[in-house]
Amino acid sequence: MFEQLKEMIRNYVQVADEDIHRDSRFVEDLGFNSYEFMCLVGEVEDEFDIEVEEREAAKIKTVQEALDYIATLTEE
Amino acid sequence: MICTCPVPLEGQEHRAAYTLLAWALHRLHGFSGRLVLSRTPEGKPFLHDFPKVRFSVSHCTGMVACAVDCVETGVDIEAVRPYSERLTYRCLAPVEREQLLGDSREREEAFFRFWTLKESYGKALGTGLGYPLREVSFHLGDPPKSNVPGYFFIQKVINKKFILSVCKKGIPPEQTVTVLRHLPERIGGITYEDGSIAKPEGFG
Repeated sequence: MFEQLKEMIRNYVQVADEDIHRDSRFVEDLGFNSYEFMCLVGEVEDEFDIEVEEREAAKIKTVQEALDYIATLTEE
Repeated sequence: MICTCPVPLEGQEHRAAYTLLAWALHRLHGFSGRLVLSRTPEGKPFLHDFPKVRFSVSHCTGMVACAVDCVETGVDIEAVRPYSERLTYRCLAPVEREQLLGDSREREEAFFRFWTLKESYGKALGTGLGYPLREVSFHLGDPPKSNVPGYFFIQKVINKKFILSVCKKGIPPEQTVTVLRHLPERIGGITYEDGSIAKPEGFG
């Protein structure tokens, strides 16, 4: 799942694969702004067949938090 | 104060936004030296030692913007470009989708007018985009109008290809936007230090 998410991240920001870490912050480290992040959320929803609430998406700050959230939805 | 400037290096926009903020803080309040940046539990940044100074920053590829005020304020800037159709159903109210008319360029501009208004409102509110996006609607115009009482908006086209929206609680934002030609030097030697998660008195 981490590799899948990294590939999706690189669709939106110019960052090398090796520079995306689990503790990378979407905004401060990877350079996302809110529009790009919401586009990523949409792509994650399609990829993992889940539905993300805006309020929950707003709480996600790091790659690991995104992975954890996806995991909780895909386990349901 | 509302200001914006170009950023030539992609990937540096977030840091550049806070450099622009430092310039604005120095110009307006004479701040210098180390400033502790804390965040509310919802993620809204504030100055730990000057919580009554309200600010908002924004960045997109090529541009950064900031707004500094004494009341809740939010700013967002985006380049007009092809948008995600999926996001129109996620984020726009039906009355807003009806306003996406005309050729592709006109629709792209309209979409980012709506997007930046919603983002600026969320920043002023302190939630970012973590509010019911489709329940807050706008009618584009000068000034834009919304269905949320007590919040006022302005919107400007910057350098012909960026949309800047500013939201302010209580009274309309100033109409003047300072457009700098390049990122200013750090005036006052302002540096930032990460602070704690807290909610100052008076924050929504």
